[in-house]
Amino acid sequence: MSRRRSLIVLTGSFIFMLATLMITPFIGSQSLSYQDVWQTLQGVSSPSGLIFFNIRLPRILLALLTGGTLAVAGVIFQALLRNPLATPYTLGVASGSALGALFVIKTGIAFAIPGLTAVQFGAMTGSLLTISFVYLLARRSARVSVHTLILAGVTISYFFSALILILHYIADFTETHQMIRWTIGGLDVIQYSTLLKSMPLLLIAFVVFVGMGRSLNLISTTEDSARSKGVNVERLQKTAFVLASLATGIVVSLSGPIGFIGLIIPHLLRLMMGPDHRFLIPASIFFGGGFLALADTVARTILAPVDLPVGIVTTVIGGPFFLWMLIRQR
Amino acid sequence: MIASKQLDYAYHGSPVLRDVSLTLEAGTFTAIIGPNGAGKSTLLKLITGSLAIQAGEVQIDGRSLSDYDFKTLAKTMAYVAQSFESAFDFTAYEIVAMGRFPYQTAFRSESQRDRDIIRQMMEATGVWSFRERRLTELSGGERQRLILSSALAQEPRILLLDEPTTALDIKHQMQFYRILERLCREEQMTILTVTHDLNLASRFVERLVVMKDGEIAADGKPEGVLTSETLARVYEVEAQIIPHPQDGKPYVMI
Repeated sequence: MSRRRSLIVLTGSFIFMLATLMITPFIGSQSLSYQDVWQTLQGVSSPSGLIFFNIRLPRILLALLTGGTLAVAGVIFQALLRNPLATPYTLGVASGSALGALFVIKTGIAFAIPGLTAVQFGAMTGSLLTISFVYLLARRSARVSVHTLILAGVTISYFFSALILILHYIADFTETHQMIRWTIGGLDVIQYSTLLKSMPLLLIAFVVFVGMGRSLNLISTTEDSARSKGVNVERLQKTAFVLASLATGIVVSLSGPIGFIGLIIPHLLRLMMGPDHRFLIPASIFFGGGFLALADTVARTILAPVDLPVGIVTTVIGGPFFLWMLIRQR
Repeated sequence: MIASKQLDYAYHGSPVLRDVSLTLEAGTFTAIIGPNGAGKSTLLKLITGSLAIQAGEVQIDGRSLSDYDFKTLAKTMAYVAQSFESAFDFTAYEIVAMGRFPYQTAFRSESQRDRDIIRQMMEATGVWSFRERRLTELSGGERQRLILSSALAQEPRILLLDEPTTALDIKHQMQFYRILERLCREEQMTILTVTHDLNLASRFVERLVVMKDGEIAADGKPEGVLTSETLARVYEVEAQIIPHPQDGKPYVMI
């Protein structure tokens, strides 16, 4: 019975994502018609078609990818740390990768690793270092409570924000311009090639996460219980932590540290479908993606022609939500 | 069969277990008793593999614990903790279904056999009727039977329990021990439980292992072990022992 409900919510999340993909590109300061877009597909160039395919569609696709990744990373961290308040944002992972990205921009280190830009590499290194710190803190003693961990994460986040501000102050004009988006978190115009380059690792991570569903159910009880039921606890923790951090690093390098997606989406989904990770993980990828695309549409239109960074919208919704969850948790 | 051979264990340099050798034959029901800090739980954790062995060896069915992979071990041996925590509010059915983990692979849904075993174990422990209820809606007694049910879904030959009835009232304690007794008798399961309840243990188990200061202080049938002298030596309390009026098993009066 509850399984049927999970399947319904999972299907609903998928349809929600498809619907945002079909509808939101048409919404904006410049209204577009389906006919124009259809004509462009048949080779007739038009301004509407240009806006649709070169500006809005890549932006929506980036929103889907970013939202899905941040939501599923939230689910993974929450299961591993057994606390629904753990997210890439609250653990400091997102600001760690933002700092990594900014550091590369400022120092101007230029190198390329196949499939990755230097900035992306910086972001991934930043998020991995941060999560290693959090992981060591969590493993050091069972007595470090998860609340302490979240507090540590939020503090790390503040500390990194201060370092980011320092980088801003010592940066020149072009660097500052590049840096702004990593500080607030926004979905700027992006090229398809950049999107495509980031896809393989993210898709691999998604598949691995879906496959981990059962193990994550077990690890969200107790470590002893998970181990006695056949879960290779250490391997699972390391794989999941590293993969979730890398995925976070990639999307942060594209969109900046967009907050609270990893908090809101998993929580809403658990209310609707229960905590079974086999369904929760794919649903959070779809629902998180759709949600961020929708939030970005709001950000683009609510103060039109001003184009708000979507990070502001998610934080305005997410901040009070986080407080509410914190109070409800005792 | 479980065998521990010359197990030593120390936490931060202070010894907790000293040279503990213990063999439990298949199909027997044994309880470990002893004062707090005697090393009972440590011994249990070394057998389950949740603590790494420092010196000595643990063998399960004649094979060293370190030769088992996680899933094979989980099919052989299950563990029931004193209490059960979960960060998220799973249903009773989902908790028991977790016991099937060692028989499953990723991306596959439950087989018919998985579902049959889950139902069978839930019925055997009397938790099938509330399968759709969530963990937070269950009482302490219901929770412990649920966790036992989840352990049984692993179809283990060996069951280890750490003070499983401490939080239960006497009715549910009796009920819990009756289930264990039946598993031992009908399924030839090897059962080892750590407990503080001497009288319950005395009534139900065949063998009592008494630990003190990290060593085995006494070992044998309840009739031989539960004596005023042993209790004075191990617990430093004066107690009288009388035969239980129903079955003649030693009954500890303090």
